[in-house]
Amino acid sequence: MRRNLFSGPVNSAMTIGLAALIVTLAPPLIRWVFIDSIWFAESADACDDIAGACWAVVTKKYRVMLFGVYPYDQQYRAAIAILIYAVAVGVSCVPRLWDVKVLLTIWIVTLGGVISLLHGAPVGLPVVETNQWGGLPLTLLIFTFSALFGMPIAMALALGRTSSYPVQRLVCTLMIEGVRALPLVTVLFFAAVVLPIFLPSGVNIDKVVRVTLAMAVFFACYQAEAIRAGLQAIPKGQFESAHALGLSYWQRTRKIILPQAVRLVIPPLMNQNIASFKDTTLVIIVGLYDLLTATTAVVSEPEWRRYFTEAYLCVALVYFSFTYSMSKYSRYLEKRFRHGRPTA
Amino acid sequence: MEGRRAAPRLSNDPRVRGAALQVAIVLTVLGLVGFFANNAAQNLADQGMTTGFGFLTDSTQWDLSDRVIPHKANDPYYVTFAVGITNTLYVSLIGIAIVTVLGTLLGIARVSKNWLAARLAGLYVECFRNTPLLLQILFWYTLLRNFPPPKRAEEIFSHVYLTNRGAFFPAPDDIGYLYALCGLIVGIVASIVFARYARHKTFEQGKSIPTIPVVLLLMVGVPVIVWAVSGAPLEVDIPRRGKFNIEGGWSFTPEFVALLMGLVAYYTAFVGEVVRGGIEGVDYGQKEAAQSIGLRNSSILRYIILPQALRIIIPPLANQYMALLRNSSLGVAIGFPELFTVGTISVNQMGQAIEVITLIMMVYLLISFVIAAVMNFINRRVAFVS
Repeated sequence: MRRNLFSGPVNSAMTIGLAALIVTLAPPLIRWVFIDSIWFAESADACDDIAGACWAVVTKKYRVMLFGVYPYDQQYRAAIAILIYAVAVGVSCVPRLWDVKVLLTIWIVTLGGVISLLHGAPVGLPVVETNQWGGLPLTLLIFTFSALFGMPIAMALALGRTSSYPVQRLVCTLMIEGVRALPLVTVLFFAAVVLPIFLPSGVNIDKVVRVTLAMAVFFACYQAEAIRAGLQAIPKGQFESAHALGLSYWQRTRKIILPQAVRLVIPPLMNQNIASFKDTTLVIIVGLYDLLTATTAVVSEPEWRRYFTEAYLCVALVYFSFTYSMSKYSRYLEKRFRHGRPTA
Repeated sequence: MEGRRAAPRLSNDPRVRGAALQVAIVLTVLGLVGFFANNAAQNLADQGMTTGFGFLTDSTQWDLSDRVIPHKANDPYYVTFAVGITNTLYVSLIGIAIVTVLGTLLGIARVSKNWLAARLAGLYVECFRNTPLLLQILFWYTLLRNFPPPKRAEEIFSHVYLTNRGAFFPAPDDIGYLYALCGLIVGIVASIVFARYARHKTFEQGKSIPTIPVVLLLMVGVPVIVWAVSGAPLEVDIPRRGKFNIEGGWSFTPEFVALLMGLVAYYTAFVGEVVRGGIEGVDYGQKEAAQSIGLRNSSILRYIILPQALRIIIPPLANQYMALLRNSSLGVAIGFPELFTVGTISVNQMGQAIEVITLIMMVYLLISFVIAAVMNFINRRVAFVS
């Protein structure tokens, strides 16, 4: 304690200053959050003359925040969709099921189920068009699809950029460097507004699909650089011995090179996934109704306008819990793959 | 037939296959480009839309709230885009400057031996790094918009107003201040030149020349002398309550402040981690070796730790700078008129989405290219010379 906090005059002053800061800030903060606050209320009027937080904005409006403009009487479907997601994520974290085929099956079934449930037509429920999808299910869908589609694109780009053929190298390098120099919003704007002009007349791709694909390509260009680092870190002997065994290019890549490369770069890949998850909020700019857009809509209602802090804090907590658990999981994966056997 | 090896099939020759694959890729890319261009031409002709960059000289019918360079409502589009580009650079460069200072302090606090400082810095990083930037910007913006209107605004400090129309500060109001600012810049340049000379002398003669007093004299003395020579002006433009808004003084719109706060708070967390990585990346043996040859603590930091940490820090730091610049485009969500916002308004006003998005993307590519070139140059300067 002495060594850490009071080793010298400067250090002691810093400790005392910071401690004083905590002591002055913490009690009012705790009062605001817990003691002087209102948790449930029928309307914002109840919060008019309290000094604390008005959590009623969340408890009253949580359905708008979570499900956006999804039809009110059908929102149980969106809730079930979130539950299915949670189960799929939980199952995917069981190391015994870590097999590409098993995981792919789980996720194809999950995503197929979630989309059918949200849309309604495949399961005989009232149809809800994609422009009415919103809130957390939309955020999760966009994130999962862009991550799933992004991974193979990223691998292709990384392999192309390290290829021995100049044309592949040039095309992939231009693609990666070009996209990485652009802000995501310009790419989303391109997908939402400009892309339809480039499609043959009569061909209409749903806006949610266009935006998700744009995100997949955008994030893939970042993932590709991470994978390339992994590819370059593999000893040359691995390529040569795979070659000497008579394996074809695809056999070498699939069985020898990529598994090692990807395992080496799990931390940057996961970091990029965390960044992608946060960046799904940018769909607000092309008019999709994700979790953040829905919250912003709630706090622009005159009734709840004053309680924006509570609403944004709550949503920030939702995003935080996702990103924080992803980063913790990434640490666990890294440790697991560093020691012991990778998959068993 | 016996004893004769079958000639390998042409399709199995790696060179032939490679060439064929490359030709196929070129043809596919060209085909796709042609296909999309053809569709676009067809669609635009069907809708009777004008094309080309002729719109740049047309007049816009709208004004912008923030501008670094002058702008009027009926200026042509190229002026409006120039305003957008300068606004993007303005908010990004200020952001980068603040983030560099705060991020360095945060990074040092993270590796501090003071347990409390390290923990608080860690808490800051986790909170601000793990929530979306756009959420933070929207939060700051809503916060600023909830300040009282100018009519009911109260003074925070003397003559400082925070209103829902912006923040207002007293501004120096005389050309003499500008001369003094130029004097400061001259002083800084002279200090750098002197510091380099002093270091050179130190290495040559093995005797240290005191630099700090001279640098202080240059940086404080030169501007003060210039200020005094230009008549020692004391005029200050004080913000006053006007009929509709607060008038005079320096003002910053809520859009600008919210975007800057969001970018700074978010990227400080990232730059702090970069700095921490750099400091932790320098081998501990370096410090011990420096101590064993009798260097003072400040000299160890200055000549041993920092140059090596910088080598690790610069590439990821450059990435963070570029990310900050790119994400200044999130100003569109709160209506700060940077390049992308100007672009979206233009598309709403007159269409021509293809031309506008091309223009925007080209500008961002150019800016990224310039920053990358500058950072590569700096990186080469500090790189390990063996």
